[in-house]
Amino acid sequence: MSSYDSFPRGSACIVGAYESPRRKAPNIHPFQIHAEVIAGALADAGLTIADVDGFATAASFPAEAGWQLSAVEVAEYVGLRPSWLCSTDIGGAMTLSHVGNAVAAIRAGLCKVAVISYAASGRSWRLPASDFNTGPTGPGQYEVPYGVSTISAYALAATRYMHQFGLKPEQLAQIAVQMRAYASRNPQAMYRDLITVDDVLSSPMISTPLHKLDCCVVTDSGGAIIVTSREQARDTRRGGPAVLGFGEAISHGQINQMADLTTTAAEYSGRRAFASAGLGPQDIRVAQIYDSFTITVALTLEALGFVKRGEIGDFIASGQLGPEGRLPINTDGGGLSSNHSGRRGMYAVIEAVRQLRGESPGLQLRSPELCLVNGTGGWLSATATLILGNAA
Amino acid sequence: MTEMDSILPVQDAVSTVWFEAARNGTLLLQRDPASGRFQYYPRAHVVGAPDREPEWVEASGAATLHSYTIVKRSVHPQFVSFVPFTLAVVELAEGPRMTSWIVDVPEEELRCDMSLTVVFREIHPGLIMPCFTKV
Repeated sequence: MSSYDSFPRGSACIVGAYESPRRKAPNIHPFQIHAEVIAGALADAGLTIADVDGFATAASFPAEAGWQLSAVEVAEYVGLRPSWLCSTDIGGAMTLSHVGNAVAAIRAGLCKVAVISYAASGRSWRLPASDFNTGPTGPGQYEVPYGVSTISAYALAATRYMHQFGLKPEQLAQIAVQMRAYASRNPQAMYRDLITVDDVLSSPMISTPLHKLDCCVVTDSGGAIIVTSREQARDTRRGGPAVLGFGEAISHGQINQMADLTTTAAEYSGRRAFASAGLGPQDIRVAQIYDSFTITVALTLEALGFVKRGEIGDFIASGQLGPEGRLPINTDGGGLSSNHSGRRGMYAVIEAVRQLRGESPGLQLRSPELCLVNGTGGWLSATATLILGNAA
Repeated sequence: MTEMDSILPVQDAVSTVWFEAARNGTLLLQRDPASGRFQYYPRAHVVGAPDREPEWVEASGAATLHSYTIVKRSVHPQFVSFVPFTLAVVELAEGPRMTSWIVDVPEEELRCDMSLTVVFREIHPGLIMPCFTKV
């Protein structure tokens, strides 16, 4: 049994959540967006900045504009002097990791009210934002000269999965089509016009087998959430869902070091999250699954145990991700259609909170009690999983 | 630092040995003297055993195509002129996988698990790297 069994299940809640309505913000520095979304999340919670004594973020990607000590830079800009600071930096899974660590910090008495923020000008940043996995020193010198970009790393996983399990491009495309259908209901989504499988397959091929519409949108945006103890949550404006389960895991940096291109570390982060929550995949009816690319969703759903190995193609084709399906996901339109500025984890957590509060801007399910969130960072390198639930 | 510089290897004490061999048409791997296990990419220590030094071994050059992607569009100035090119993860006969390029194989002949052999190409001015082609 893992040590996650003693995770302080349900001891803290997410009592504030705010996603920036920005999608294109040229000339807006990402730190400005941090301040905007922190103000938004605090207002949502009915708290003020004076109540905050914990802070987590990282701003180390070029389009996030932080340099060394990026979390300290953002804290200074916003005007925070927290007694607990966390800047675990695992790509798109980062925010989920920050939530899990905030729960532990609150339980350990290191802080009482933690703010977690994220912002990036993924779309408009003027400097060349390299998407190579690392620099050309050390391990990177053996890979970077071949030009492995973010999308090509995911494409390598997709090719191998298709070879082993017979997944078809049109099945992957259906994920993008479904996300767009949810986005069409969301006024803030980047793209809202409905698309078809043919639209996806006839969009420009970027890196086989992934087309342009197999890829997420690229936005300038940000988001923030507030975590506090369950006791203190009662004194906030609206309360919010409890953190029932959490797990994180890493597998590799370079794509050639990934032990199995057809499964991700979500197998482990998911197992830890389910163990800490005392739940299993069968208990979850709605989820937010990191969708940097369509293939990310396919691999993750299998790794989390929602689908048997090799069967994701049929699961998608039979409409199980749709409103009436076994597992509606990314109910705001996801990264594929609503918002993805470089790390999607924050937006996925915010949508889970909205879903559990009954206020999704996309597809609102009827009274969901639980929502699973999975973040994926890097080149399928790192994952974190959260299970949120409405406090009984 | 120009964009071109930013993709060229910055060599160190370990990697100089490997790049020098590649320039001379040899693909080097490393082996754990204790377990006999091969590793790639090169490191100063055995993976998972930071107290143990690996030995250099010449690879057979035989591999299979574990996975590939044909890069049709690139936003990177260093790679735009190569498009389309075939990026791959190959599985070396000795066990480890490596990132590389597939060269001189028409797109329609590419299949996962097909047999490959190493060739050496100057992929950027002055930089010779191992690539793979069909047997």
